[in-house]
Amino acid sequence: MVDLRPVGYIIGLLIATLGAMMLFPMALDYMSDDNNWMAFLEASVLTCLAGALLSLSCANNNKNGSGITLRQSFVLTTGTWVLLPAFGALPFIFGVPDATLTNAVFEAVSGMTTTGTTVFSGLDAMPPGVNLWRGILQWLGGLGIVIVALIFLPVMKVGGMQFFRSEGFDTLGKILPRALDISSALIQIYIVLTIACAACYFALGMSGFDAVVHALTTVSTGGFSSSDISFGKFEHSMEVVAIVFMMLASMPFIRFVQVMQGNFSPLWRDAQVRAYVRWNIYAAIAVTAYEMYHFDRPFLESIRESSFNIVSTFSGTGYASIDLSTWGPFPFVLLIMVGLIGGCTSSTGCSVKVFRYLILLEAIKVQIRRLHSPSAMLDLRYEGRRVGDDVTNSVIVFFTLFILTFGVVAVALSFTGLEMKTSFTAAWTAVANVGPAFGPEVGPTGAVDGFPAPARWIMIIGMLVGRLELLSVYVLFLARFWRS
Amino acid sequence: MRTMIDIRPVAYVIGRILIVLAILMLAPAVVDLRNGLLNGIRFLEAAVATGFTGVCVVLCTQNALRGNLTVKQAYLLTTGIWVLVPAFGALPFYLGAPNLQFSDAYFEAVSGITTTGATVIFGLDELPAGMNLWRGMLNWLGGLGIAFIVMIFLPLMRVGGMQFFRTEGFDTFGKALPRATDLAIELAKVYTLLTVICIISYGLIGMSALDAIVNGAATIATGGFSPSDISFEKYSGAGEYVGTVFMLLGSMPYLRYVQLIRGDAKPLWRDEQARAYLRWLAVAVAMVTVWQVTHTDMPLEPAFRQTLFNLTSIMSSSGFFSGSFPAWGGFMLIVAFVIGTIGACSGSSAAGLSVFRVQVAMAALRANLVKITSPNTVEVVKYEGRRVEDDVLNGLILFFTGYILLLGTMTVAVSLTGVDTVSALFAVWTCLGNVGYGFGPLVLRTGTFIDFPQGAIAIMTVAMLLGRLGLLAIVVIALPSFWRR
Repeated sequence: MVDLRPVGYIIGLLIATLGAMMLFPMALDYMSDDNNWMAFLEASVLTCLAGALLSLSCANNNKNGSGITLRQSFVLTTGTWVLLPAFGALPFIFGVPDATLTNAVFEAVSGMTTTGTTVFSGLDAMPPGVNLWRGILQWLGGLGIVIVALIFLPVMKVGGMQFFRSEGFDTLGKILPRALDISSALIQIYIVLTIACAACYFALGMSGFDAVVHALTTVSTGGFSSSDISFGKFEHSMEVVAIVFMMLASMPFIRFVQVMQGNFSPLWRDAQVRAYVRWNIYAAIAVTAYEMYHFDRPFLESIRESSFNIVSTFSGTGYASIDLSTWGPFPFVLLIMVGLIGGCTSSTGCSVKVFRYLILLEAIKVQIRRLHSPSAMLDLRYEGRRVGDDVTNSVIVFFTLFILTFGVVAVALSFTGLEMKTSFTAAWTAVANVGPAFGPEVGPTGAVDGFPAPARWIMIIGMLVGRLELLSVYVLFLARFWRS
Repeated sequence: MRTMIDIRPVAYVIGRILIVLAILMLAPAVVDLRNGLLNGIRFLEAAVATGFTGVCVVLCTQNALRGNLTVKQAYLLTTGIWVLVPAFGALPFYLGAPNLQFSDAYFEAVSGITTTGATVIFGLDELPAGMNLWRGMLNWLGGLGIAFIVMIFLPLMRVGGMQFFRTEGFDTFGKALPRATDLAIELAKVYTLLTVICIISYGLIGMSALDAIVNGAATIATGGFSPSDISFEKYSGAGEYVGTVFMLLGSMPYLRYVQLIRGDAKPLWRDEQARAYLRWLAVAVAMVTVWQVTHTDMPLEPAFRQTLFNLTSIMSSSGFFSGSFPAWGGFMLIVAFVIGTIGACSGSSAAGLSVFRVQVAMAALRANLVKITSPNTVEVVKYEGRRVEDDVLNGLILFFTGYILLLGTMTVAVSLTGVDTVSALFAVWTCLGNVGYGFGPLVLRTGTFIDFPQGAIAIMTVAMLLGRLGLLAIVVIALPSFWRR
């Protein structure tokens, strides 16, 4: 059997930290004379208590020094993303939105997975603490996934991430000690980015509160907004700031660590970053041209609109500045496509990731060349390094699994009675962690509270599985995994 | 010429096929002339043009076919046939009764010869009999042709993991042509036999002679061209059940039938692919029937019958429809999308990803999951008890991936022409999988693709060809390096 105690210990600590974080919205609500602060206090006490108990009951049982085994790290990642939102949902149940269990958990999972689909409408009228808490959930989720992507996934060999192993860590025994080093560098960068983003928003005229909430959800490519109309509420200059920071947040964070050490060339030369920026530009130009040609829109307006919404979807953020369903068929389909690509690996971005597409395209090229010169030895290369067969295989497997998961979630959603278009886009938004869903059942503000309860639970599962890169969740369902 | 591929043998074979095509055009010509229709003359014109071209090509390139084709020539031949033959097969539609513009006529012919079955002709019931017969013949020839290609050429070309079937057919390339002739003759016999049985069955349940022949030819080819705008709704009831049976027969691996007439029924019975195919289809039919009965007040029998017929039509990539099924919407649409993408068995005239590829991909996924948890174990992917080699696995999964990517990019392209999203997605789905079944607002009015803009029609024509020829065969030819050396 897998020894669950070290896992319980870490998750307990994380839950306790989450409880402590609830004190921020509590303080905010208290200062703005909103009675809702009580809800946060209750939730905080309960969460800290549960976390501390879990942690204490599992403490001092780590035989393996400070490291954890491979199997334990699988349980740890999935466990974290399942349990933390359960506690993160408490303020929504105790406090103002007075949410049902389904809605509260949905909102918290959507936050922690940085998806950004909301079940709440009337956001503008909510106590500030609630909106801040939604922002904090996404911010923590974004930070968490960067750490997981950089430290755990390469060792777990999920979806070809072992390619990045040498950049992170070599062997399993060293996971935790070295993890602390890298994490602290990451956290610094993440905080710097957030502060810079908030400062830019504030400088251009957002209120202090809006600036903080939006900075939290921009840098985590989350997409929660404190307003029902998302970025439609603000001046257009905000969209430019958001574009910059959404792009930054969906680039590999390890490169920023190198930039901090004074070395810019890795970021500049990164094949993934280059492809990502290039594809964003192509998509934005295509949509701009389409809008100008078909709807006679002025150039500046359409380029701003298209680049904001393309970057927002590409990075998996999910802000909207206009009603996307009025955008015409071509931009809409393109939007779905870029959502299925997603940001770069080891960033807060979601979906399949640019890296995997680059490997996939290379593999297809090699395969075609092999077809007509069967005896040639052809190596698959990425950034000049040879890509091993195991990496290529796991990338292809990941891609196939992604499409299958997407299909299964869409089928399941439509079985709950949703329209074809709704279930298709809802599956897309959940598995790729993007944010918006389209279709007749989606509310006027983009809230999905009109979906039947089973549909919301299916989306919750989709979001979790998509965020944790599928395989790391699926292995838990293998009987073999639990046998020794 | 040393630096180029010698294309003369390829041209020679295509020329001979064109001559055959011209002779076949005489059949609808005779039918129409006997009915006293002017349209028969148009068929004669088309036959003369086709025959003349064919004879010229053959004369120019005769004596070129010495020995066997090389792999590259085989690639070129397959693609050449499917691109050029419909260009001539389109002539009757262009010259004759429906008076289509050439791009539409080419679409119709490609749709026929790829056994897709998507049509751009509305008012089929009023067409001259010869025209509907020609559509059925195109379907039938396309189905027979692809059965040859799939069983004989594709394994040698190593397209999409098809080399797995190589040992069942032939071992080395040198033996391909002599043994191919044997196999081809048996295949043609089985195919013709099935068609005749199907036509007789249709006749017994009350179809007119023309309807029985056209529908029979299109059913066994899993083509889906029907001589009526309302497709099988015209023969609602028994027609749907009989149609289901023959669509299923037409989408099973043909090699098993060849073994069957050699007296060995076991391989067909034990075939994992055929079993999974029937199993998955049964699950889909059950789910949609339950859904329809519980969500509407439709009685069980018609709900089951329509679901059975239409889903079989979609999964076998035929494209016939019946009843109000296309307008049901909701859950059915998603199920239809999934099973249409999977498609039927490899080694039949059906298209799509094929059950075989999906099964092996699943086995590979499982092996990969196991490998993640216990990195030191060696997991072997097996299919029907045989080990699936890595190169098969790679080719197959890449086919899978390429298919999905193509589905996405072509949907983008079609929607760029102004088609709404659902119609665009299903249009590409139907063409790439050679399904022929239309969903979405643009199709719903007529049940045909007549309302699609010209640009979309062109993209869909390309999609049908790509889907039919296993994608890679075409992509390979588009590579500059293919032509060098």
